[in-house]
Amino acid sequence: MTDSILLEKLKKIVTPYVQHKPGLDKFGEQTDLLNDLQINSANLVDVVLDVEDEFNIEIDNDSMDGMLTVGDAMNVIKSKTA
Amino acid sequence: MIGNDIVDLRLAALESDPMRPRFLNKVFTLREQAYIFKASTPLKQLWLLWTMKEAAYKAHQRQFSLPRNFNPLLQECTILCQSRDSASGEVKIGAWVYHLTSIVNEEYIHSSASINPGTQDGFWKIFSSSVDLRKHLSLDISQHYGIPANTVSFEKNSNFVPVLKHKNKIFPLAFSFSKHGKFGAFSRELMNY
Repeated sequence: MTDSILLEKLKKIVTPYVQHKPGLDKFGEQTDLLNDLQINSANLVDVVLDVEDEFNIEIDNDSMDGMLTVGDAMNVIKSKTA
Repeated sequence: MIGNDIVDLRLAALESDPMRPRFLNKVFTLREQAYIFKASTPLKQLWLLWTMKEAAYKAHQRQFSLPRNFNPLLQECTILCQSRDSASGEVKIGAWVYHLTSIVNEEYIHSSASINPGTQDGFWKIFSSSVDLRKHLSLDISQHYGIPANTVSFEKNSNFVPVLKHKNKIFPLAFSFSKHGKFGAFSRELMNY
């Protein structure tokens, strides 16, 4: 899967949980899920669960631990689907 | 060190469905899940545990200037005492124990965590989320320590933790803000200055 398809899928997953919609304008690897998009921490769990469903992977808590930016999420997905 | 967390129960019911087993297993240990299922109002109990763990995590992150992370299973919460409108507990993170005091009502749950035992070393206030929490904390500090509110300012450090400045010098008071839905709160330590 190319990075741009992965980014597109992630954007679709996070959008319903984003509290700060302008943060989506510059959506990319650097985008911080908490600071730029203001996703609350309960919804961060929802993001993780939706990523698991979309990519058919399991994200353990150690992997979830570091999922703070879109780039972090991409790395987790890539390592689990490789 | 201090941490706090507030949950607007009405908004939380719209935003999240945390009673799903997969959600529970990512956030709560089996012991914590037992607290939830034994309670007369499981969802409310879940948010009580959630705020306790979040508040403790914030206090811990500040205590050790840690980078942000998200691993709720590393925080183990024990409820020590609970009534209809309040609760106290402990959250263990590694070798550290944080002491929690919570208030619970129909509208919100607020928990405040401190590394020191006893409720005497923390103080909090709940507001409507439309107020400027920084301004209210400045006024509170100004009153309490006799310094003009306009000489107090806030900055975020490299771990995104807000720090208080008085005349451009760090003012060593631990505090924490939390906002959710209709509610906002600050919590601060009580110290002699």
